Amino acid sequence: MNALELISLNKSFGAQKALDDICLSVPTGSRTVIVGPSGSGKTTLLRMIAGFEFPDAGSLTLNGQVLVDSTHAVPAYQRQIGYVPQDGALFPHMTVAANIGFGLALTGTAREERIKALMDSVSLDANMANRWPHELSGGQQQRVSLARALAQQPRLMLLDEPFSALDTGLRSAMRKMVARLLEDAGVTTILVTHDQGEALSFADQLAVMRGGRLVQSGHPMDLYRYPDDEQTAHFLGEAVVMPARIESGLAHCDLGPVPVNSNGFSGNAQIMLRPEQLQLSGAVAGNHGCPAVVTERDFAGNTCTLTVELRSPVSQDLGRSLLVRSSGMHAPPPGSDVQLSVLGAAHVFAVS
Amino acid sequence: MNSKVPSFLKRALLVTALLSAGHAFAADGVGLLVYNAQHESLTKAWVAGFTEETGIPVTIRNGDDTEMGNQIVQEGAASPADVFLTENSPAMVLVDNAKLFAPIAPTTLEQVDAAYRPAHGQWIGIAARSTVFVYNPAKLAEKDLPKSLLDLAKPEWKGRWAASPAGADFQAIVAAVLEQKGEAATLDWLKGMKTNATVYRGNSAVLKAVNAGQIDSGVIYHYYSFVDQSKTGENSKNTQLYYFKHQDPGAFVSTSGAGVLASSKHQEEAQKFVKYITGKEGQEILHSGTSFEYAVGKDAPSNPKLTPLKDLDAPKVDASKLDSKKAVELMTQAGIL
Amino acid sequence: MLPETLPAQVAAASSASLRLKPRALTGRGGSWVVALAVGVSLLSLLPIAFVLGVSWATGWATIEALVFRPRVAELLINTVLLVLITLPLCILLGTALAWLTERTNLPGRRLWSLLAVAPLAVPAFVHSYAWVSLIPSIHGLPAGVLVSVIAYFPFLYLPVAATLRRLDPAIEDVAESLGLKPWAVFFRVVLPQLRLAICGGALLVGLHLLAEYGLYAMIRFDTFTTAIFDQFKSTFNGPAANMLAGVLALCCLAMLTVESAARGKARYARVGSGSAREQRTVLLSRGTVMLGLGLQGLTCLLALGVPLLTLGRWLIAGGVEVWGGGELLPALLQTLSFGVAGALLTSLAAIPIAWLSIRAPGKLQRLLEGCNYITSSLPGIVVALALVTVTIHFARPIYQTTLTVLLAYLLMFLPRALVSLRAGFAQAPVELENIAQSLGRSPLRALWLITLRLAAPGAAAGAALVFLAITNELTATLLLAPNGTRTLATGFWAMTSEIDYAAAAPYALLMVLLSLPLTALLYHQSRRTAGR
Repeated sequence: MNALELISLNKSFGAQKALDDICLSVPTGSRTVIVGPSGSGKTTLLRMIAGFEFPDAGSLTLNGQVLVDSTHAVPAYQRQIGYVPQDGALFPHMTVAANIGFGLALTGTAREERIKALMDSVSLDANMANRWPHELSGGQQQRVSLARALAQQPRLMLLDEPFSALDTGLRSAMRKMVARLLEDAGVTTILVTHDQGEALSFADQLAVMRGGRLVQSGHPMDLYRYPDDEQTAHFLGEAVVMPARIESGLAHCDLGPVPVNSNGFSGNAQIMLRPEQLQLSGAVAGNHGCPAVVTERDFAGNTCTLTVELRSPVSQDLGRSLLVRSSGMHAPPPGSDVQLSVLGAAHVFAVS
Repeated sequence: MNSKVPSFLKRALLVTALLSAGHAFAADGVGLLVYNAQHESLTKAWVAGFTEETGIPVTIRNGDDTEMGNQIVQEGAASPADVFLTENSPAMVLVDNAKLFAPIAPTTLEQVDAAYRPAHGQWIGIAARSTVFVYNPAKLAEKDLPKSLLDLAKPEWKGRWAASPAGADFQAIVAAVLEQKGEAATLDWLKGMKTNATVYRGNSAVLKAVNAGQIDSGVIYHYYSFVDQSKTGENSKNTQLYYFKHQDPGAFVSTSGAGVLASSKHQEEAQKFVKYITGKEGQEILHSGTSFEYAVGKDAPSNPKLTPLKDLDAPKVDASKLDSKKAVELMTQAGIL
Repeated sequence: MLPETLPAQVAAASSASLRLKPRALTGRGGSWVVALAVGVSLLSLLPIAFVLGVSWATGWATIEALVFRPRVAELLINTVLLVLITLPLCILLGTALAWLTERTNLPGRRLWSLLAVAPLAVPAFVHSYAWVSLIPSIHGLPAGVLVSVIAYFPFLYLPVAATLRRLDPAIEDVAESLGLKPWAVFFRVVLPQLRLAICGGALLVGLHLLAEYGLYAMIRFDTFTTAIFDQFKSTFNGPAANMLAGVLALCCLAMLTVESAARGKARYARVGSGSAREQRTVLLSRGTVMLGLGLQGLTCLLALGVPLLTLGRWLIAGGVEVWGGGELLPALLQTLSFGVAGALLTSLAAIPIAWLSIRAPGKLQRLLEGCNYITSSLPGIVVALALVTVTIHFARPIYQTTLTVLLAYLLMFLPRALVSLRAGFAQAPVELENIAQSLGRSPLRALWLITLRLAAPGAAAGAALVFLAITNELTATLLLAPNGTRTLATGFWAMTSEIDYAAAAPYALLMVLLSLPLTALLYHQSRRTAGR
């Protein structure tokens, strides 16, 4: 069953179209991540779900209840949707306990216990209850914000770039904790971010937005392996894109013939490979793969980034330059001849 | 704001600053320096006439009776003032008690009626004003007019009269009551005033309020009404004047004084100035001018519009005995100040 | 008088500077600065010393007689009632107007926000003059409250509007997501964040209420200040005036204490870096729009319409004659020269303390600033009385001179110069001087080339505020200006004392014109700093 249904949401700010016909379904209990560059409209979409913005057209349904459509709109304070903004936004004039208990209807010991339980669930020490927000670190503030939103047992949790204000070292730990917490609570979650690594790791369902449009949505792995277009491909990770001629399941490109999922397509197209699909081996004559020569080497301990220039199989001229990652154990110096082979199949972009 | 203030502007500002600071340290000019607590227009007329006749330039510094009196006392022998002119006599007494006056030349003393100068001749009267009861005939009938100033402390006058007690004018009147009736009676009257009277700032304000019907009556000096009448009359056209007469404290005539400072470096010119004011030409300015204060020179007529001094039946109060300090003390005690 | 930047910003600036490593003050240069700063602060303690000294010298019996009497009780009741009624009204009006112009979609918001600040260009006693011209019979407490609210509400509007602009909108979003209806969001989340602004603004208004003379004298409402003035006119330097001044000083200190307690310990600056998102705007219903426009319009009419129309009426009635007479120009020049000289002197005096607070913040510097802050809270009349006494007894040569007047201005307005100057110095962190030195400039040239250049706009802004305050200052000038000198304010006062309202109008107009550019500056400053 789908917790949240977005149907044809449209929103314009003056002449600029912020959301263009957005359709998305969010399954109950799942974690959906909406990812995209700045200005893609993802924050607008999130705020629309929360009820701080209203669409020009389209409808929004939560657990079967229509929140927004052409006739009426439920205001934010009646939606029971938890909202965690980028910097936590704790109420500066209240202690931690007061912040967390803000949405609670309980009083007395029941309230205290609930607050304590919430603080526990976000791994906050009980003695922090009487601290003031400005006395907390960034990570602690974020956790209080989370606990505060969870206190009201929301039907949906919205997280707006919650980890971007944290130190990099802290980010992945927080991400894991939050993911686990939300899963334990069984709350449907939507997270918005511009960080692709965060998006890929956190999501059960990933939706990519660009220029107000939802360009692709699905399982992270699917989007990563089979992006619909080049921009999405580049956004979700490093990509090697090159033109090729596709014929009977093989793409003929600078790397030589590469297997490809073409679905019977023949002709010229752009293909995409992920860097981890490129494998390096020493230059051994007769080996399968594309010959290349190393032009630059960037040794970084456990990995090594090599810039290689492909040799065309026909002429011995140097052609395309590619970045290849290799384990630190195998780091040929510049000038060495190597063989480049491809793991798995390349992906073809649909010709528009 | 632009941090690049043009350098000429900076210099201009600096010069202005220095000039203004130096303003106060201006060197003593030639001519007389008069500390003037009288109405500016009157003194200006005197100065203009004097300078025309003698060619001696005069600089006027304006202020209040009490303020300037105290200032002269504070400045002591170092005071730059040559002549001190007041509206009422208590300030003259103040300076005189500090022994700062030089005796007025006997020929000058002769020019003024004995009633308007102290016997010791340390200062002299230059003009006079009469206490008067101004009332709004629409609010107060003639038959209800008070017989005496002291009646105003009675319960039936609650909320029906006004005065300006913070000024030196009214304090002179209180000092006269004190001199005539003694401390106890004065204090009682002041306590009654505290309950009954509405306080305004300035005699003009009292006149205007009576005129507008905001208050039934007030105790001021006579010339305020006449001055207003000589202009547009808008602040006095609904008012009438009533003189207490019968030597009542309310008929008190206050003497404006002039004194020559003993520390003055221009003794001769200063005496000349006082002589001019109290002489025929000076007193003529009171007769024909628009100050409407009474002339005090021997045989000098006052402005024809005024009720003649002799008809006022003023009480005999020795101007040199008026103790405004005590008067203020009593007013403080009564809760008025 | 215009508001000095609020105590909150003082605290913020101090805490900002604490992040810089405090640089040890070594060498001759450092000790000179400290000596100068201490000197200025000792000077600023003069009024307090005067009150204490005079009380000591007067003896308990006299104090008892002069302080514990019905008149003083009367004045105290008047003062307390004035404060207790005016402050809440100012807070309500200022907050309502600020909310309307900053957080709603009221039509003409930019215009209304400018009009809400404009009444500051009209000195308080000119407001009073306008109302007395309009309704000659108004007097007493109701009149006092009316004119006070009109004259002083911008002091609350400015900081509240600035804070509303600065608030983190995400906090209100979250509050709404937690189930709070819009009104509840305002009262439980927005209003508490306005506490500092409201406290600071209310303190400023309260101190003005205690210190103002001209406004209350004209509407015949007796306060401590008017009573002190009357006593001074009557007895000059007598004990009664000084005792009243002592009680008034105590009231001011009490107000400072109350405000300090009301501010509380919690900090209300935005917590976390936050995204600079647009503020949420409340969409008003038609009825509310009408109400809002009505409130703005009414305030504008009372606070701007009445004084401007009255001035116009008197100017027309007076015709061309009132502009002649030869008194106006000298008064204008005198005002300008007092203003410029006073601004320069005050800014110079503020430099050592401002320098200390940025380069070497610490206990001494905070103590020095505290002294200045307390003195500036005292009314002008107390400062003037103190100077009269001190110059008469100990510094006769400068008694009744321009220097004494300038000194009074220094004591009263130092914090205004200080805050702006401090902000200016903060623009030039010590690292820049170090870099200049590493590029071959001597320390003194580095100071001149870098620090003072960067601090100049701040210094200029502070000087401008002091200039404005001086041009509108009445009470201390009345007491201290040398005989024969007349400023626009004292000239205006002399005319109104003679009920010559038409002759007073040109003076009032000139004062308003002088105040306009600086009021505009204040308006722009407040909009700019809030945007950051």
